This record gives sequence, C-alpha cells and structure tokens, in this order.
Amino acid sequence: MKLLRRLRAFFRKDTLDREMSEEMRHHLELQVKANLAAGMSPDEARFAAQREFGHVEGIKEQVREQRGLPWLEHMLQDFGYGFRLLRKSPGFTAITVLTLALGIGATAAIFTVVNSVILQPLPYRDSVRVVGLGESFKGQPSNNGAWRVTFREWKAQATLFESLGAAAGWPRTFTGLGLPIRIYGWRVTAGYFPTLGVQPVLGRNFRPEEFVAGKGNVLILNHRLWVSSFDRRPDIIGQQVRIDDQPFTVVGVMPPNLWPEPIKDPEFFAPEPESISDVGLIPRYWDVLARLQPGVTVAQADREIAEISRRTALKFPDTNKDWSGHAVPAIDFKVSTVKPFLFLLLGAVGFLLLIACVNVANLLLARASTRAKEIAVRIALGASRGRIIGQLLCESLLISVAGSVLGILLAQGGLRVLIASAPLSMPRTHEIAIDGYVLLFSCVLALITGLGFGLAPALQASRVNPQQAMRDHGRGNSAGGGALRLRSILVAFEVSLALVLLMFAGLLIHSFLRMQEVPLGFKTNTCYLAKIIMPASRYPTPLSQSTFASQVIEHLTAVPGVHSVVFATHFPGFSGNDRPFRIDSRPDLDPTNLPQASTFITTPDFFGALNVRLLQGRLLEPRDTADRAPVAVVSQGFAAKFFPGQNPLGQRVTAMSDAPGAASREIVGVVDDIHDRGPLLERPFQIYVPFAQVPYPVPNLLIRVDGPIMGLEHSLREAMDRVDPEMPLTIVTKMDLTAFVNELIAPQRYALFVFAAFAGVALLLSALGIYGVVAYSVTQRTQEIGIRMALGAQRRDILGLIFSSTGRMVGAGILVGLVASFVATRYLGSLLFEVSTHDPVAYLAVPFFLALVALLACWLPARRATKVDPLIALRQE
Amino acid sequence: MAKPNPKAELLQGTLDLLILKALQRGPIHGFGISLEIRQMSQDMLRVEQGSLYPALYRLEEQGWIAAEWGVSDNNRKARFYSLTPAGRRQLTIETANWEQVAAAINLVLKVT
Repeated sequence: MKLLRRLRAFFRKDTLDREMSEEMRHHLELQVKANLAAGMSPDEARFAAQREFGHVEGIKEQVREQRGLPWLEHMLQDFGYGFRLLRKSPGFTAITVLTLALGIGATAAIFTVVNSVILQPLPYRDSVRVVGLGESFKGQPSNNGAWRVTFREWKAQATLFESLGAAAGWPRTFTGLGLPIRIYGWRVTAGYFPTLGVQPVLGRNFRPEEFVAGKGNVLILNHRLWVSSFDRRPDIIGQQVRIDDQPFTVVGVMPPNLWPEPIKDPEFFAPEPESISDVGLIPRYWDVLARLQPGVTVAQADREIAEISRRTALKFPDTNKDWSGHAVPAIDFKVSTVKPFLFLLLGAVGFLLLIACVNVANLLLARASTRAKEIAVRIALGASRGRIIGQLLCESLLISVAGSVLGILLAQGGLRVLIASAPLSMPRTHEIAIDGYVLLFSCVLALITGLGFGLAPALQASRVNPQQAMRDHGRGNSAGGGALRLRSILVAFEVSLALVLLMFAGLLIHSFLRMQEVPLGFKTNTCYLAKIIMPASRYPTPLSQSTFASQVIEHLTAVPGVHSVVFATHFPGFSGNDRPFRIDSRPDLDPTNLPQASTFITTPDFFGALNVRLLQGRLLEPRDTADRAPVAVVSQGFAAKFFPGQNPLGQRVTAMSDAPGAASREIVGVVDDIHDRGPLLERPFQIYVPFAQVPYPVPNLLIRVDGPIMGLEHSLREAMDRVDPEMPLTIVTKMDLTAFVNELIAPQRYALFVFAAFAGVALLLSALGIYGVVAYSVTQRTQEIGIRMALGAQRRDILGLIFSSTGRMVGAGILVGLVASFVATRYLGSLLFEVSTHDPVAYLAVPFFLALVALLACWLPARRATKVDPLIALRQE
Repeated sequence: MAKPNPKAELLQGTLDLLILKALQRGPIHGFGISLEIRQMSQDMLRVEQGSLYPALYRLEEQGWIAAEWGVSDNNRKARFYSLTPAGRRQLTIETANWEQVAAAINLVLKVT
C-alpha cells in the first residue's frame, strides 16, 4: 500500500512538485498578509515572511526525499549522468565497451555451446527417462555397445523399463533414383523408435510384422537423406529403392536432427528382427537405449541391468565372462566425450572474461584519478560517500550492459564460426542456439562484471580528500600513488591469467606439431573411389567374382593416366571395419574380448597404389589365389604387439572374414602401420587378406591416377563396358586420401583454434593493460624524470627506471601465472598428443614470449619518457 | 517589531500530535495549521515551516491526514488537510501517551 503510494508519487513527480510549490507560495502570501495587518511595510512584511518560512528549496527537497522512491530517483539521475558522461568521452567508452563485449561475447558463446550440448535435454519425448545401456569389460569405463545376446537377456528380464531398443550401423550401397551412393544406415529393433518417442514426419513407423525375418524389406528415410537426395518429395512414400541390389519400400521419413552426433546420424533405418542370432565373433556394436518407467531412477535401472548381466555371464561364459552391464542417462551416453573439453573451454573463457574485467577496471581507475577534482567538488557540496560510489557503479553498469548487448551480437557471429568449424564428431552442433537461458546468463554476467570491475575503482575514487584534491593543481598525485599500485597489481594479475591461456595454446600448438610429424604410413595423390555391385545372379561363386575383379583391374589399368586399380573391402579413412581375430600361437588371448584389427580384403596392388612400405617378408601377390595356401600380411604394430621378440613370419592368424572353421592364415609379410584414424590413437593393427581368397560381391575400388584426368571418367566407363556392358562403374568421389585422413585430427585442430583465439585476445588485452599503466606512470612521473635528467641522468638510466618497475609487475604476473599453469594444464591432458602437460618447451617459450610482448608494450611510453625535456617538465608546475 | 520568542522548544515527536490536534476541528491549510498551533498555545509554540511541511507529507503518507485542494478565504486555491478516521484514532492514542509522559515527568520533577 505504502509502496504503491510511493510508486504513484514517483510517477507523478512533476505534478506533485508543482502542487508543493503552489502550496508554499500560498503559505507565504498569507504570512505576508498577516505581517501587513500587523503593520509592517510591504517589503518588511515579505522579508519577515520569508525569513520565518526558511529555505524553500531545502524544505521542498526534504519533502521530496520522503515522498516517492528517492533511491530510484537517484539511480535514474546517476544513470542519466553516467550516460551523458560516457557520451562525452566516446574514445574511453568505445574501448571499455569493446573490451567487455569481447569478454562477455566469448563467454556467452561458449556458454551457449555448453547449454545446448550438455544442459538442454535431448529432443525426445520426456527425454530424462531415456537411458543408454552398455557393456564394459572387467569394469573398464568404456562407451562399448552391447552384444545382441546380452540385449535379448536385458529385454527379457528387465522390469523397470517401458521399452528397450537396439540399433547398429549398416553402411550400404544405395541405388534408388539416380546414381548409387554409399551411405550409412541403421538397422533398428522394434523397440527403438518407441524408446526414443519419435514419430515419422511423413508416412508411418515400422509395423510389428515387419520385424520378422524376411518381411522387413521396408525403409524409413532420415530427414537429411530425404532433403539431400529426394528434394523433400512427399510422394517418396511407397517408392522402391535398392540397397545392395535388394528392393526396399520407403514407408516413412523421420524428423530432422534425430541423433545428437552428426557424424553418426544415419541416412536411413531398416527393421531388424530381434530373433536373429549373431554368427561367429561379432563384436559388441549394438547401441542399446531404454525408456524408464515413470518414477524409476537411473540408479535403480543401473542396478537391475548389472544384475541381469551378472546372470548372463554365468549363462554364457564363452562370450559374457567378465562383461558387466550398466545404464547411464542417454545424454551422458551421447555427449560424454566432449563434456571435459567443453568445461575446459568454459573455464578458459572465464579467464578471458576476468582479463577483460581487469582491463576495464584499470581504465576506470585511470579515469578516476583524472576525475578526482570533480568528485572532490561533489563531496564538498555534500554528496555522501555512498552516493559517489553509487554513481560510479551506475556508470560501470552502463558500460557492462552496453558491453553485454554488443557481446551477444559478437557471440552470434562467433557461434557461427564455432559451429561451422566444429569437427563432425562434435555432438548436437545443429542444436546450438542462443536461447532464454543464454540471455539470462548474459544479464547476470553484465551485472556481476559491472559490479566486479566497478567496485574497486569506485571505492578508490570515493576516498578522495576534497581539500587536498582541490589544492593539487592538476598534478593529481593525491590518489595517484595508491591507484598506481592498485593498477600494477591488477596488471600483474592480468598477466598471470593471460599466461595460463597462452600456456594452454602453447601446449596445444606443440602437441599439434607432434601430431603432424607422425607419418601416416601411406601416401596417395588424386584417386577415384568407385563402387561395383556384382549381382548374385551373374556372379554367383567366389571364383567368378575374383575372376571378374582381375579382368576389371586389367582393363582399367590399361586406360592411359591410370596408375593402378585396387579392389578392397575398404580404404584408409573408412571407419567401422575393425574385426576380431585369433592367433594360433596365442591361446592366452581372452576369447570373450578378442583384439580387433582393421581387416583389409584386397588385391595385391593395394600396397603399390598407397605407397605402403614393406618391412619384412613379402607382399600379397597375384599367385595368392583361392586354391593356394591362405596367407595374410600384417602391420608392424600388429607384429610388435602380438609377437614381441619373435619372428612374425610363419605365425598363423584367423581373421574374422574367414568362414567359421576355416584354416588359419600364414603371415607372409609385415608392412608399415597405416594411421588411418588420425595420428591420435595407439598404433593400429592391420591385417591384409588376398581378395582372391575371400572375394566380396560389393567391393570398393580405388583408381589411382597419374597425370591429367581430363575425360578420364569417360575412358574408365568405356573400359568397364569392355569387361561387362551391363555392369555400371559407379564413381563415388574423387579425392586425395591423405588429405582425407589428415582431416581426422580435426578435433585437435579445433581445440587449438579456439584456445589460440582466446590466448590471442588475452595477450592483446594484457598488452593494452601494461601499456596503459606504463604510459600513465610516465605521465605522472614527468617532473621526476625531468629533475633526474636535469641532475644528469642518462637516457639509459631513465629507461632502466621505467623498465624495472614494469619488470617487477610483469615478472610477478608471470611467476604467479606459471604456478597457476602448473595446476591448470593438468585438465588439458586428454587433448595432448605426446606432449606432457608440463612440457618444458612450452614452459620456457610461453613466458619468454609474454615477456617480449610486455617489453614491446612498455617500449613506446618508455621512449616518451626519455624524450622529456627537463625545462618543460619543470615548468609544468 | 520584536518577535516574541517561542517560550518552549518543541519536544521531539510532539509536532505530529500538535498537527493532528490542530486539525481536530476541521480541515485547514498549512498556514492555518501553524496559526492554529500558535493560538492554541497562546503564542508559546511556534512551528518552523521547515518542519511543518515535511511533517504534513509524512502524516499524509501514514494515512492519518488527507489533503484536498479547495478554495481559501481569500479565494485562492489552497491545499486543505483533514483528519482521517485513522488519524482520529492516532490523536487519541498520542494524547493519552503524551498525558502519561507529561504526568511522569512532572512526578520526577516534583521529587525534591
């Protein structure tokens, strides 16, 4: 009630003011009248009345204070005043607002990423109830999928779930409309879509009867494929497409962005019967999701799954011994890999924001000392200390609000760059957007930073002694000494923060250089990747398939400009081709957790086309045909790991691609490792098996080209026609495989790029801070320098004077920064490659670099100090 | 003309009571209130205008008096103050308080 009245008074201020003046004038008039009646002269009467009434304006002010909302009025006044002041010094305003916008913008951008990727629920119905189920070996933390048998046991025994579903990658060749393409699909079990709670945007979901073996020739397109290959045509429903030459009917289209990780977002879905049993040594690659019943916690689900897995291990000791089951929230299941990186970024950007705040605080301090006199006048006129602090804080809030508005705009732009350059493995990039939470976060940030950087300068400024300040004729030393010390401490702080960020960037740069030194183990220039599908009707036997392959190789290699032609299951850079294997001489390898190797089934020219070095024994040769002894070539890493100190030649290995019960292969050669997952991972294991011994009806082709490629595609097709006119040669892409594989270090390059940007801004800001403080101290000490020079100081002495004080400030900052780095870089560990988190190179180079920049930043003002003319300096008094 | 000095200083907190009392007989304007207090105290108490108006606004805010624009004797627009029911209650309470305090102080002073 009272507040309401006050609020009304606040808004009717002008009316109330007018009424009050009117009332008081009336009072005076009556008093004058009374005085006249008492016999005074008119003048006397008026004076007496005024004397008696007192100071009209003072009374009015007193009344105003009681009425309305004085603090709000003060604040509005302060804001108005601050606004005018900032407008009067556009240079200062621009620099402070920009500095802050950089800090807030970067923070808002990174927060947006964290918010969208980690904090926002996944886009499924009631997504907190969706959990991921996985198996891990001997309790090792892993993102392993599950074995199908385990999934069936879970599904049969679990009581806490509404539904369970499994999915597995299914890279296939898609021939529908137009050219065949190799695309990545998923087979999903009946429970998968109900578990996610998603419905097709077009057409229908799979029907239960379609999950019966042999009835499932239906297909749901993912939104992306529908847009990219079918122009969003609604009449796609009911059409037939061919997958690996089998007809499938399209029945639906799923909504966009179904899956968090773009790289794993499939292009299509096909139904998978749950009853099929896996043959042989299929690894655990089923991606299992489950929907909890209402009220069930993840911990309860985890206990139940662990218990069922324990029983399953007893039931199927051959495959499940030492494997345990676990349930985690789906969001952790999917984004856990980037979580540490994103939190690291958030921490780093916090440092950047701190640096920006320190810089602005520094500028405010510098300005406060030039404003000492203004403040002294206000204090002399009766402004309380609280009011002065309030006013200065209002100014800094104005700066911080402007900074955060501009910062949001910067964040918009920055996010675009962040998203565009994000590696494909980064989840949920398409969901990253500034939302209400981000805006709220920025508002809070503006408030906190405004108070944070404004408080110290405001306290400092309000401590002005008005008498002294007014007496100091423009020398401004009164607050000078204290302010300069405070500013030096701030700069030292800033330097230490910058050093930590630089150290991060330095370590990442060093690690990146190390990564690039790793030989890929192969080299190609331009090649064509192509695809052939041998219909079972015309190439029914392995022999016919391998004969056809050698004919194709012969004809295509004859085309001018072609260097070599290779048939293979896959090539370096293709993922998902790891298969388990057995080694005859190593029965100790756990059969439930066999090691896996990238198993290339390929023709002999593989090594020549890709420049893979032979280290021992021989390569695959044309004579390794089906009727000869089965052979294999392995990589050096493979040999070193499994036959340490022994001769790998002559050892025997069974690759997954061989039929169950087939004879093991003799290792006839050892070649260089191919780092085809990027140099980051451990030494990869590779096994090479002759194509002629295990033919494959849908092989990939690599056609390595030497020289000009004009019209080559046409000549290749012509050559193909001569082998089999009915067989199309589908050229999938033209690329340099080496460059393609180099792309695999994209996540590391991304981290480097972001941290380098942060470090660059931090360096720039701290250089500005150092420059500001040194320049200010030189101006302050002009007279001192003049006197020193008059007394015979040399240029060298003056430089020494300036540099030694700067050196102390920067040195202290670097020292603190080194200690902080020592602690902070630990969190960088997982991003570094063959570089210790306490890498001596970075720990030497970074402080040196920072000191160099500091030296440059103070060189300009120091030079000005040496140009001081003693006469002029002394006359300034 | 020699101004008669107020013979008694206004005791802290009594101004509100005096204003409420002055308004008891009906609505009057600010000048009237100061006049009324002077007359009622037989020229012993004088209210400083510097305290009168802030006090009036304070009382108004507390809801004890209400202000209204009206026309004064000399035909000018003037702000008239009147007691609200709450103000009337407050006057009773403060009068009783005052009498108690005054009696108590008298008792103290009478001790020899």
